[in-house]
Amino acid sequence: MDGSNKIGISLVGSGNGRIPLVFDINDIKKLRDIGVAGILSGTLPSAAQQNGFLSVPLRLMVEEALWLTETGVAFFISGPESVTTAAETVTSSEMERARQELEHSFAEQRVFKRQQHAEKMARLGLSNAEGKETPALLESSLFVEIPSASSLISNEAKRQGNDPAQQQKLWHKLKDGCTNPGDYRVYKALKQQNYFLSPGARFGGRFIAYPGDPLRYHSHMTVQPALDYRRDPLNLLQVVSGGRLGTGVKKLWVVAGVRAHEEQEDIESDVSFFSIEWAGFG
Amino acid sequence: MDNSELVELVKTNLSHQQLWDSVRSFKLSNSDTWMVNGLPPHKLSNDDEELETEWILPVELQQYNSGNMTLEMADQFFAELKCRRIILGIVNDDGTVVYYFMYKGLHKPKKN
Repeated sequence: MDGSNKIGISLVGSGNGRIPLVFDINDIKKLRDIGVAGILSGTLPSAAQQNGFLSVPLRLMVEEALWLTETGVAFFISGPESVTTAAETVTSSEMERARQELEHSFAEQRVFKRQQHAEKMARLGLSNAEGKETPALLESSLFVEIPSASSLISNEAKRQGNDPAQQQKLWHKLKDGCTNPGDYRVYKALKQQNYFLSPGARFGGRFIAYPGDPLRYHSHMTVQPALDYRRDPLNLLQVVSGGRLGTGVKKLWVVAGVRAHEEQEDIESDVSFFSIEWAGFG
Repeated sequence: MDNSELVELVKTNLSHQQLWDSVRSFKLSNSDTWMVNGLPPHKLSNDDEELETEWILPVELQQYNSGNMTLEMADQFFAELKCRRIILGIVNDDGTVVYYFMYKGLHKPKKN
């Protein structure tokens, strides 16, 4: 796939705990079509999941970002570095050209405004000489257009997207930042079965799984953080409390066991799922 | 997973409190784990087509110890019993028992 029609995921923040964000509204539409809903977090990050009317950026789970880049649908843009790198490429002649373009636009606006003023005076039957021109007023009405996307940064983003080594590096860095690496395998196994997944903290899990688009379906399952298939015991106190909560909100409480052989080609059968709910008696 | 000490309590609870019929216990092969089976007095879920024998695994709930049942063991139980679901009979330290369905794989929530 060519880098140009891939989805750009910006990794924002410092260190390993980077947050994957998508800023382009067309990219967000594409993501929805492939079963990644994400969370719109614009303007109110503290209550992101509680409000359906927020704007871009779209915040993705780390597992989603890893999966999208691994399947070749998306590429990473390293947030802070791409801005500084892009800024460093600017030469003084380019700065000068930008300044000239701005001056040019101001000159055009002045001509236009004077003409408008003259026409207005003529309409009101006043001679132009009577309305004395006030330069301060004219200057303060000049419009500076700020583009919504930076061409410098988009060039830099494209360059990063076409650099496989850089992409690999960012992917592994993001993966290493995961507190529970098994969760990514659980995510992939559920994704292969066409579930929509969203963060599960609302119902006390790692993921919430929907059988289709969350706007059309209620979720079926609260998926718990991945367990080691052979070593981790099933915590019965969690079974009881999670099972009660799950039954109350009509969701199965799902535990997933991941077989430990990291870095091997992981297939669906490497993850075993068990669904738990209250039996209705006792 | 040695649960032999819980078997009698769960059997008593099922037959005398939950009013199940034909409650029996079995030891699984190649394991020190005991299972209880029996017939409930009515269908346990609206999704069930008919009354059928249910398999109960007695396990002990401890506050500061998450027990020793791994998901690998759960898979072995399913493999040996060849059943759709097992019921976890979770024994509390006050002698009460709570029951939870455990299905293999991903399952839909039951209809009300």
